[in-house]
Amino acid sequence: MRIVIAEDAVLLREGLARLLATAGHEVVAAVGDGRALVEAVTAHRPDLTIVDVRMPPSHTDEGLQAARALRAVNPSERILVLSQIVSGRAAADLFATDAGGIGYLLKDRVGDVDEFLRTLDTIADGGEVIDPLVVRQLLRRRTGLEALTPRETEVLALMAEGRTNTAIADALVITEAAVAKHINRIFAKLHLSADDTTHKRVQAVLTYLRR
Amino acid sequence: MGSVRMPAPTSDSPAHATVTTPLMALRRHPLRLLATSWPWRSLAYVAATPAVAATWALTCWPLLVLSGVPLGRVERWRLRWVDRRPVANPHRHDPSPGLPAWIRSRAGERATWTELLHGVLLIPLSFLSFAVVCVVLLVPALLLAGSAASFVLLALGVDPAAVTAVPDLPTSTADGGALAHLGPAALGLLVLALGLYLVTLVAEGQRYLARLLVGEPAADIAQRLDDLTRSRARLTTAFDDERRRIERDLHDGAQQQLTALVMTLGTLRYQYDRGSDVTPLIDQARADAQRAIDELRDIVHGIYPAALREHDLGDALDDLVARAEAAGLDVTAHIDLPVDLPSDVEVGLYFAANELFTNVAKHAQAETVHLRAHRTPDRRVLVTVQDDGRGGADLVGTGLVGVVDRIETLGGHVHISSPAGGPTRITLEVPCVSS
Repeated sequence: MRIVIAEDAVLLREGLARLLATAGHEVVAAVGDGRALVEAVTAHRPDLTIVDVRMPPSHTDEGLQAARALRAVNPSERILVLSQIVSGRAAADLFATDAGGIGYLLKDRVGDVDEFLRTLDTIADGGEVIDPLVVRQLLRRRTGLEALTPRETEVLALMAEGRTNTAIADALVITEAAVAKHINRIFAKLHLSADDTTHKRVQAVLTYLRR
Repeated sequence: MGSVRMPAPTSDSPAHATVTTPLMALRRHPLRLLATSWPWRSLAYVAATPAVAATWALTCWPLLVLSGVPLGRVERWRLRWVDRRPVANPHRHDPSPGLPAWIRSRAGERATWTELLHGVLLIPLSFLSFAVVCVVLLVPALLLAGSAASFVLLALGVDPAAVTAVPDLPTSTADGGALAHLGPAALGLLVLALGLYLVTLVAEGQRYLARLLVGEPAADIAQRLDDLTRSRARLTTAFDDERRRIERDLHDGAQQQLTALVMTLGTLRYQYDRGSDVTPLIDQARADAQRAIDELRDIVHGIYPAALREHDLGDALDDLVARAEAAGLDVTAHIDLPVDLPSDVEVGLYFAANELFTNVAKHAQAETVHLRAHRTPDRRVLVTVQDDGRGGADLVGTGLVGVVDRIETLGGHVHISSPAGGPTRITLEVPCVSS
């Protein structure tokens, strides 16, 4: 697919471009700040944009602001935000709309290239991906989860990451039927409305976690 | 800054305030004054004045204008008898070693001259003190002695009036009864009591004068407190800036390098799984790792110099000199320091010296730098950095404020001499005992 990269550290920008090229993607533009990113996306209309949170000039959250600006213009813009630090609040902000096609990952996840490439596909297909560490942070801060059993908490975390029932079953080494049963109980306990599509489910869980 | 103390509360109006001076004692308990120690301490203070003044006038005159300095010391010590608030030394801590330098610096100080004035005023005052003490002690003593003598003579059956040895006894009339002989004793006690009130007042006057002339003026204390408050605020900001700088160094440097390494390794694995040649990626990964190590080494050195952790200040300064030489400066160094300096002194002096070298490189346009570091026999560590640059160094816009703050935190001083056109000579001075 055609990808735009926004990353101010030259070393990482080049590494990322090399990696994506290796995997057969086309990097149509690689820029170093938020303003250039908005221009590049407008010009190239890529299938996916990868953006670093902290960029010049203020080195705070230019990447997030650019991502929000892009999504405001085109709510179905596919964006993966890469961050050096875990910030549950920044992530929850990104997932506030139910348009899908968005992801928030820690930078070093890129090292697991196969997983990373799958993540890109998920987002391009309109799915949602959120870093497990961010989910864990949200879970830690959220009270009211005492009603859940440890196993149900695990399932909730995996749901928040955007895993399908099959993936959850694989991760926990249980049957898919068992996963479905856990999920039903979680939804009942937390008073969430069940939804079949995975990304809507992520949304529901994230909404609950940041409430 | 060992001589700076917080000013004690000076107001004597709050009822709960501690009594710190004779006047306060008198105001607080006018009737019970004699039951406190204040009149007696006042008496000792006033009575000692003639002795102090005479000793000073006879022994210290060869010191000429500096003769007030030893007197000031004695007077500050003696002031504690009648003033419970701390008395600060008004002299600056000796800036430079050696007797001639000491004389020059003392002669230029206001305190030296006020102490001399105090000595000159003390001479007439000592006559007054002597007179007061005589009246307060001798008159009651004579009256009491006369009374006692009358009783002794009566007991022996002799008419006291017939005894020429005591012709002046006021009540020695022939027809006076034994009780009449108590009159002088009562009068003596009354004189003593009133005299002690007088002594308390005289002591208060002398105390006020001494505090004014040999103590540190209140304005100076306020000024130094103000300086301290500002310097503390600057230090706090400096700590925050430092943390932010370290965070940025780590984020922009080592963290990025390591992430790049992870990325390269990920690509390597991906290629390897697909049977491609991964040799270039292995080289790339090694280069990434080496960059991260270099980056971390620099950052770590900025946080706490390895030379200080593993060696002493002398070695760390050697390391600094080597770095300055590597940066193109011509450096000569004389370093003669003990190995057992307290670590706060070592760290403070190291970073201050580091900042001075940075300033030389950045601002001075100098070619040669001389570093001298040694400990004086009176246990002060001096580090001097002198360059042949263009001079004109001041506290604004350079790291010098930080240097001054760092050194003053250790109770030391920074001496700056940097005329326009150079040379610049900056001495860091820190008092220290071996750890």
